[in-house]
Amino acid sequence: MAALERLSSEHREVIVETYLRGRSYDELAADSGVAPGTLRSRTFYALKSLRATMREMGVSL
Amino acid sequence: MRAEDHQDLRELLGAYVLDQLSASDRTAVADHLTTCPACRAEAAELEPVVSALLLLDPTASGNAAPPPDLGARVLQMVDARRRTAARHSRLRRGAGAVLVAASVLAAFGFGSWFGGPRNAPPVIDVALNLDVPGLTADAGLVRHTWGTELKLEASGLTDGASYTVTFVRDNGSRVGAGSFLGTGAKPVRCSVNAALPLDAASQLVITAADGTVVMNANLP
Repeated sequence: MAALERLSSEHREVIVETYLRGRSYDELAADSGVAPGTLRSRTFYALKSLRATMREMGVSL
Repeated sequence: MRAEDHQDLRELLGAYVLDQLSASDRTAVADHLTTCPACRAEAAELEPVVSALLLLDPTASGNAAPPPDLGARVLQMVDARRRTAARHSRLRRGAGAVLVAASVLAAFGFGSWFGGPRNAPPVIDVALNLDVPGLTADAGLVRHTWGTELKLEASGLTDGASYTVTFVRDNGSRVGAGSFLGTGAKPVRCSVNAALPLDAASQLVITAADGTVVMNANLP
């Protein structure tokens, strides 16, 4: 779980829910109370953060 | 273009590279990319992350270890995406690609998040607080690779009324697990699922349509 925690829970959730589980932003917005637009921008920062995490782990991208 | 338009479109790049945008948003971002080198560069930076994410299959239960053909699959994907940037030797690119995938697996805690026991997992008893007179219920939780299942048997819920099951995380955020109908004195037996790991759930709440809590439990 230590590695999992390297992403913030908000970042992890938006990727897991919308991408890995294929849920729509509207659906996730209804569940979480966060606006779809905010969730979409969160995806952007989540991917950036994931990239940074991968670099920290020594991956050359 | 106004600065805030640029910022709005830039923040759509994540959903864009994951192919999650509506046709109109996708076109808007694609148009923007033709005129904005900064956003083009950002989108290109996210590509290897997407390549690695493609390898994560949440339905591949029990896949705690990477599949044997992982290296070949990553190579293929990254190769296709990065053909234009073929500055490195084949060997280095291959090794890098495998590392990319492996690090994403690790970043998502692949072993613990998607992993778990391979055989039928045990049902974990839950001590329910029952908040309605005449209500009796038994509940158990099952730890799955893809989330948490609640098995519930209850009688004394209003016949035909809808009840909603929600898991609550430590930070108070909620994950819906589904809903079911009461069957009066006849016991209702149902199973609902939520997309969160059992370890991340701190509370279970079952509410009536008007929001009244009818059952809840604190999870270990």
